[in-house]
Amino acid sequence: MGRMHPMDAKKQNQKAPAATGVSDLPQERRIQELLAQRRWRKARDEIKPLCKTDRARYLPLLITANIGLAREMLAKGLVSDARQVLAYLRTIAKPDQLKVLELELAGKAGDYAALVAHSLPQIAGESHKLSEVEQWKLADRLVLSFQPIPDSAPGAVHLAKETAAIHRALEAVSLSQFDGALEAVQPISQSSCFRHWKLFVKGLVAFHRNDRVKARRFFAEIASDTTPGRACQPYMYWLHDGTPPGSQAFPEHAVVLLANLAGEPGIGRLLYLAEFAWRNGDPREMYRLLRKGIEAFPSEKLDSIGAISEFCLHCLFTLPAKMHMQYAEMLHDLLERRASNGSREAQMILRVLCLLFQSDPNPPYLAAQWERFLLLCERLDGPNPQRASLAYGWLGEVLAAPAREDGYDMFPPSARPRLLDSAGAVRALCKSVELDPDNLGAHLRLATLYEQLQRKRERNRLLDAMTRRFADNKQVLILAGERCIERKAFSKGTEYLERALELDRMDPAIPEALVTAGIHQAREFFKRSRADDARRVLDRISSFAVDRADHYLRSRWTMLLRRGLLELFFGDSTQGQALLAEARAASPGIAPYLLLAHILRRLYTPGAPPFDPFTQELEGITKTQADIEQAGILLRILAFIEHRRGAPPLNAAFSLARKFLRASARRPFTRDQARQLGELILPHSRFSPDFGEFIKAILKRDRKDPLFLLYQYQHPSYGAPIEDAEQCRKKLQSIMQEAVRRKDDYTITRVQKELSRLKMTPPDPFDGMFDGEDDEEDDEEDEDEEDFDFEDLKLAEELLQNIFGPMNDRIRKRYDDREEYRPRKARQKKRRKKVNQRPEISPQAAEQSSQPQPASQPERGTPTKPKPGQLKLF
Amino acid sequence: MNPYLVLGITPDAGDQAIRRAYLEAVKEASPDTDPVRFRAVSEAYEKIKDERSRNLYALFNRDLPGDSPLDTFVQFHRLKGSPRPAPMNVMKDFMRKCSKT
Repeated sequence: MGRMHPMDAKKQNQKAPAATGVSDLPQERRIQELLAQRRWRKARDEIKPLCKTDRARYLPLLITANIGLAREMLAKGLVSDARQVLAYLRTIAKPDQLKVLELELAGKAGDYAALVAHSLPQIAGESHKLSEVEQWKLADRLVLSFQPIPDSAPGAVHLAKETAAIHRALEAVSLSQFDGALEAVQPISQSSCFRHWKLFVKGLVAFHRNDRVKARRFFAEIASDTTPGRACQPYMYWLHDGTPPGSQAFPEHAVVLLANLAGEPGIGRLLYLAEFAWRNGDPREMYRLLRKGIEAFPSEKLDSIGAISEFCLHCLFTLPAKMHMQYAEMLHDLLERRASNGSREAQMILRVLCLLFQSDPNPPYLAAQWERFLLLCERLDGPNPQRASLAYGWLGEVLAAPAREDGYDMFPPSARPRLLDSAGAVRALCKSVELDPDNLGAHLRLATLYEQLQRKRERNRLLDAMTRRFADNKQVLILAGERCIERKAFSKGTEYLERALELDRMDPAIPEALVTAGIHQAREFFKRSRADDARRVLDRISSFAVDRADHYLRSRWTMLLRRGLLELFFGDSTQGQALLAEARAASPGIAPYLLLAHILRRLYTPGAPPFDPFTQELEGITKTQADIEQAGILLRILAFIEHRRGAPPLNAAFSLARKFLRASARRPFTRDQARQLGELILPHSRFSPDFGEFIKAILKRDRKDPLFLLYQYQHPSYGAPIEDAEQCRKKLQSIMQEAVRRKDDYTITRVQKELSRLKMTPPDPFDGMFDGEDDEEDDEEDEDEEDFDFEDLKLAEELLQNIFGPMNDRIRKRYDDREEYRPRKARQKKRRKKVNQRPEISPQAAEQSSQPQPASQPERGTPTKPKPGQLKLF
Repeated sequence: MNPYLVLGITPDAGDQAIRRAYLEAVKEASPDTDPVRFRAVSEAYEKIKDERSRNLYALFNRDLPGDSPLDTFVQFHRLKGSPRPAPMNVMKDFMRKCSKT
């Protein structure tokens, strides 16, 4: 070739297509931009007129745009359109430029003969020039042709053989001839371009032979960008037990294959559509599709349709609120329009809807629907009184839940709790008991309900019946015993409790109940001047005394004290004095003895004035003998008595204890004693101000004591209040540093807790919270309301109080004003939220809670916390 | 998953049959050999061990048998038994479609 003249070269450069470079011409620049943005059609339309003016310059650009357009069409599945573009391209481009595109088109169109014709010469003749991935792709084309490969081309013999072997192996797998399949792929070497097909076949064989480990291993070895690599995905999914599928849905052909593997090929497409609807967040469409496509849907049978039916209905419990409401409405419509696929569907829908709305029920409606469900159960499955009894028990439990607060009550709260539907609950529980007299859970729930409703006569009658029917049930015997004692049927009550004790000698609740009952009975005997009977009872219960001084019911000193006081007030005063002296000597300190004596005196002689010799003596020793150890015991006694049923007024006792506590702060004490007292006091706001003296004293001795600095931080009244969250964090961090330096793990843990609480920086509770109140018509308002949360306001208020102390009057007024003028919709929303937050009564849990529980086995003699409704006297 | 399916029994099985199936399943999957399966079997047995439990399960069961309809379907068949090989025409069609994706 001769060298070009510089001027000609310049001209040529001017004319050269600017396919990649940036042109100076605005039109060309515009085309370049369009091509770069992959806007092929637009680029093509703009190049065409230019091409007419200067073909040599613009033809390459036109070809590029058309090739891009054809590829885009192929990607969208528009094969015939792409074919038209290709036909046009053949008129303007050289065949070499279109090879790749033609191959892609053949692949998309399923023209495997063309694919083979293209691929075979490349892989057979030029394999050394191809990369491994390119070889795999060409090999895939040969296999997917599923036709014999001509072996006449040079180097094509082994390719034809190996392709045929893969075909034979796949055929053998589909016929369950697994040995034959393995035999067929055996000759394929590790260096062959078909080795990923060999692995695929081996994986399939292992999969169908249930050798999960091998199957996983073979499939995992296949390169993911090959056809077998993609084809093994559904198999891998089947193998991954319990692993949820990825966020990306399977394509239809994969779902169809899974359905074939399951032996239910007919369900494949429907399953794909249902899956698609579910993943698109449209459970209603999912249900509609399945209902329309499967005659037996929904089903309770133990088959795949049954499992899918269960999913479709149970997903209601897990959907987000808005979605589940829409879905529930659709199901409800099906019921109301009698459009359900027979009674079974109605029964299944009724069950889930009733369970769904148990947390916020409309009582009469819920009861009616639940009874409708039970009627359908009886009609479809025959009578089952046990099941019906459990169902009515659940209904009673739901209806006996506390009614939600609908605003401010005009009247003070009554002693009777407001229940959702007490009459309905009693009716349902009575029906439950009637249907299955052995349903202990329903009996116990009914007894508790009678108690709540103060219907004592019915409760007692029921308990009597229960003690006959469940004669060997500890829980029933304890409950009945306590209620008998309460109504002064001492002999009967004691008998029940002793029977319970025989059943379980390790349960500390029973001796406690017996001691309580005995003291109560003795007091009644003393009052009726039957001192000997009273002493006999007291003698009997003395066998339950324990050596631990901190058991304020069964310890020797407290039992002596009780007996002494009873003798003093109602029996032989001399004997009483002697017993009191004995109790005093056995007590852990004079102050605890005096405080308990004062409380018991108020209990046994309710009309007596609040101050007595015990009080006077306690006040006397407070000034001279107060000490931190005894102060701790006083607090424990008060905590024990405060929560017991029938406790006398304790104001005077609390006042005495506080004085004693303050006085003990002025006496010598160790840091450890103060720490123990702090742990006892700080959870109770009643005593927390009195602990300030101890903190001051400790910090005077050691001003960097991290634990006491933490106490001071937690109760700002002990020191200077901290202004903001940042300061709080700094303060806590400095305490933490000191605690770490001293290796004080106890304090480190506590500071960590405080720091984690601080991570939620409290917002200004008022800023922006009430903006846009008037835009109630705005469509977006509902969306905004989803995020709007008045609970946040409360939380923020609490956090602010923790940091800044109680709200000042100005802020309080502002807060109250906001509360009053809160939009009605938002108030309703708050109520709804409260209801949603109410813990659901799981029927199983309810059943279990009302069932006799396996006795917890605390250490013998350990005081037990009084259970609600359990009688505790002194 | 459905406890009847986990234990491989029919819903009309009695206490004895359920107990037998449970013991057999536990023998195959002990806490040492297959703790996951053992836990699943034990949970399934607790749900249906006697008539009362079965009634409670029938009335109040809320378990989701899978994460999606397809997952439910596959999990059901996983428990049910070995998958069947797909017919050749289905395989052919499936693999060709895989090559296009």
